[in-house]
Amino acid sequence: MSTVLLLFAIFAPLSLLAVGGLIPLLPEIQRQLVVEHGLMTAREFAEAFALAQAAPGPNILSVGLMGLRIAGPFGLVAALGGMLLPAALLAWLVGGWLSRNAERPAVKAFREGLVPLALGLFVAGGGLLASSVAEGSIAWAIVAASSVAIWRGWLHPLLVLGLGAASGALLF
Amino acid sequence: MNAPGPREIFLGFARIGLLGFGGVAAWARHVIVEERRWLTEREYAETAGLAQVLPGPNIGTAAIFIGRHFAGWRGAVAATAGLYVGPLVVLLVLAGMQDVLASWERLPALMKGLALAAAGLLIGAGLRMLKNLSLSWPFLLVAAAACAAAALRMPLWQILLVLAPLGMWMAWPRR
Repeated sequence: MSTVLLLFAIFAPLSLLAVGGLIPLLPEIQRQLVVEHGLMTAREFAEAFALAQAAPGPNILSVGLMGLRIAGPFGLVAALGGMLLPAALLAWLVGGWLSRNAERPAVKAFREGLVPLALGLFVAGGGLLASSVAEGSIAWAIVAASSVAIWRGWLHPLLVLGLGAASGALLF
Repeated sequence: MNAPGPREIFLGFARIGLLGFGGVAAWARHVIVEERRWLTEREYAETAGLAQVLPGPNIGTAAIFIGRHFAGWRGAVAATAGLYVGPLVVLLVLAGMQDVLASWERLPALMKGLALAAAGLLIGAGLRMLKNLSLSWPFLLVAAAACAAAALRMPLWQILLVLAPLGMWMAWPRR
């Protein structure tokens, strides 16, 4: 099997397992690309993920970068397409079913029942991101000041990010 | 508000993708709820909740739901393309400049400050959601349980397996 097809075959099944996004799947992706198929080194893998974390946009794009490193532009398309297409098709089908059945009590209750989960996971995402980066009182002060500025609507989010980056460059 | 067409949907999601430093979730809510007012706070939270239980990046699933809702398959394609194409180009440019970036010694400190502010974006947006959703206390308990379980790094599927049916049961209409 050519490497390009192999990449698609590796990522397409993982796409449907990616509940909660890319992060929970990283160990399995690493195992397949680095250990089982020997397509890249562990270091290249870590670099591709770190770069996508630093760049704007969904971190799942790191899969495209891995594909590019392994098999050039076609590898990028195969890896990212494999990672995104099955989940996107499922979302399309489920979205259609939900909108056709929007008035059913079970569908209404399902949607409404997920609201507190979305809220709780949203806040936890912020807390986990903060605790993975923050050490020391200056770092936590940046988190706190950014949170309050957004909560009270004092500053535009872009300005908050800019101030965070500037204070990081000055203070750390 | 008029329903956005594919063009506006593409531009909105491109904005979400390109501004999404340190995660796109906070920007998705900001653009969709506060800036463009495509969805109410509750509609957005429902969409985000559905995206949590389906596989794939949450924002990718939400893009398909929202694009489809306003403009059918053209909307879904426009949202998906807007979300991924711009950031992919940026990522490829950055990958090409990796040596230059590695030589800039203030960059790690700058990225750290950016990540801290991005965490603040999520927490602050969560507090705004909390206010706008005005949930009754049983739902607030579910939200707190989800937050605590995720903070303790319980696997997401376990959290969803317990709390999604509980939330659904609580939301079931009763007489």
